[in-house]
Amino acid sequence: MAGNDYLTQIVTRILIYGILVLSVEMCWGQTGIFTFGQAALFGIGGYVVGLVTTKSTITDIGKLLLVAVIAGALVGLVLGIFLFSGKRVGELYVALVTLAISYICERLANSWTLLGSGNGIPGIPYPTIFGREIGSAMGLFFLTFAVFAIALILCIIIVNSQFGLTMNAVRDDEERAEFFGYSRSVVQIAIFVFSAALAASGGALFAVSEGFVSPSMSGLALSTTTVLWVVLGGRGTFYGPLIALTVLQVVNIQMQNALPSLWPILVGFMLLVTMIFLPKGLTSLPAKIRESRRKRVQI
Amino acid sequence: MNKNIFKKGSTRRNTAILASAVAMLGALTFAPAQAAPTVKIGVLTDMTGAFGIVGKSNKAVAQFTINEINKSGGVLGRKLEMVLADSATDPAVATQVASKLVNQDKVAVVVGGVASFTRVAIRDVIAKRGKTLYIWPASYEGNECSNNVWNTGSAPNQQVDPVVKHLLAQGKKTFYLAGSDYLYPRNILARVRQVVLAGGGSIVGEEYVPLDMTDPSNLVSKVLASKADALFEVVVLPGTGPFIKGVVDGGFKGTIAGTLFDEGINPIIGKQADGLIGAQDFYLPVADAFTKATVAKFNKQHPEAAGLFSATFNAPAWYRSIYLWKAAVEKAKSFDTAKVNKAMDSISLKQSIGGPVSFAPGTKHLNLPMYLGKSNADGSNTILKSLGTIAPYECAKKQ
Repeated sequence: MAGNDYLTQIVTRILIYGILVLSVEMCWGQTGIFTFGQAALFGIGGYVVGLVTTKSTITDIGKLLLVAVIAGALVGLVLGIFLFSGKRVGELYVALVTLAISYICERLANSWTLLGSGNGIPGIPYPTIFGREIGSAMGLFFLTFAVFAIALILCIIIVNSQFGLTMNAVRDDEERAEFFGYSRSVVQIAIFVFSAALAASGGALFAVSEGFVSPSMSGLALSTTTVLWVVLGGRGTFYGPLIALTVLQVVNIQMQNALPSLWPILVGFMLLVTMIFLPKGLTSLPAKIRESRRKRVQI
Repeated sequence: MNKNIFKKGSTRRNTAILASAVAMLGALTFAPAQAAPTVKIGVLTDMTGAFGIVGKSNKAVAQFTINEINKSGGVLGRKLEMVLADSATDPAVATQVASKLVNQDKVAVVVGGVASFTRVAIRDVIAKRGKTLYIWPASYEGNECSNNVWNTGSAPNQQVDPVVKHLLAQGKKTFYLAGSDYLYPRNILARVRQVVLAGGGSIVGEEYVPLDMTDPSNLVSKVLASKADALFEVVVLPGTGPFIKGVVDGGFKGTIAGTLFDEGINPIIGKQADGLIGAQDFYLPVADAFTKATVAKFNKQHPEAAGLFSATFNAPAWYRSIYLWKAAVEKAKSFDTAKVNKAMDSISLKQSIGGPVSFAPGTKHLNLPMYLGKSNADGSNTILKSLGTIAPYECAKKQ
């Protein structure tokens, strides 16, 4: 199996980014909160784990995930209260504030010596579970898969519950939801905190599976790429963005060797085209094709 | 569509096909025995991103060295094959491509990394988790003593001590220290501080700027205000040019020294490079016949990297890395990582760029021939003094 270590690591990384995608989908796709800040929370989760494992002897993955989730949830709570507990503020405001937070986190990571500045925090040890070290690519894959599966199931349960309907109501029309008596603030803050915790747990997994954290984890590039996956895949479903993420990651690796300078431009172009012609994402393409065929037949 | 392809004239064609098939089969049966499979060398460097220009040089030097070795018969009778990986000046990408080299391409050794933040990111992936030999071919901040890792660039005491001593001997008393904010500059400047204070000098300021800084005016004013006798700077690309230009054009009267000045960087700084002091394991004017001939051969075979064979681009270190590894493999009579690792500690090269080199036992670093140099406005570098072979104060022999 050792020969497949590289492939295992690619899949593990895709699953970690998948958790990030779930957090954006819950926030934006289901509740209408357009957030550019998931990378900041991803970074917070990662750096917390980095600091804890290098400054103390704690390597138990349960404890590490807990610490990361709490840190993420706290930040999410503070931000959420700031953004959503007053008057309605609108998508653009939220987008800008979360974008700024991502930027601030990246700058902080780059300049604060405690966080390793430009170097990040290297040498993060393997995680342990019940005292046994998870030291192989396969082991890390199973760990990540387990966390991803739990996260996905949680998200599906929430979305299909009564609360999920309230989320969608807030997404579709904030004002009307409020008039109907639903506490818009509570819904938004709750989901924002949940997403923050999710993103932070993804960051924690990144830290232990890669063995290091660096400022680029927290940056605008990752924030934007996560949004890209959701846009390309289609808001409103989980499988759409996850498929987009997988396809892009796999193609990305091939392209990085073939067209390193051209590839990011192509991706940006794809994003532009998708937003203009397929605002519901690529997963709406089959439906659109069927529609246009039906129209042609009618003539 | 014609259903019957076996029509008139096809008998002749079919016979021809059958005949060639038999001939091919015959050729395959009697083909000479397959040559021994090639050995893959992982070449990991920044082909894109802030350090892209260094990557360009690294790739050319690696290719040149591998071609040279293959022409003379390869290693233990096997030819070498280069597997290039671009770390894009991003540690997250670096770990991914390092993993590919080690786990998928199954290279025998990985040579590479440009910045120290890349090295620390990929070191565990290659040397620890990947159990593969990793050669770090760059002058850097020292303290790399991990298992399976070998350093072929200059260590701080080799680059810093001679320069600081030279400045102190010239009567410089006050020093200002400036660098980019990461491991490499911080540790280098710590060494500068140590040698300055030990030599009776004093530090009048120490400042660090973010890696992606493009506007150095703040730092420049601080340096000018300090009126220091000497500035020791480790501000890396892309900030090097603007910073030095700013300091010189601002009227700084002191001497500027650093660890990253030579024919590769001088042109990037421009005419303000005049008078910059540093110490490297190689400058173009190095006179020995072997160095001159090898560099000339490189320039001829790799016109795309013309002018990029320099110490700050790690060219000499890349060249000697692959030859040192070759020597260790031949000594161990095996490509096995553990065996080569053991053999490396006592390897030396009688001939290399800049002069003979050898691993100082127990230090994982090289005894290197060093030169004190001064940059010129036209981009060239003058050798002020040949410092002889300097031993590294690293790992077991920390001082």
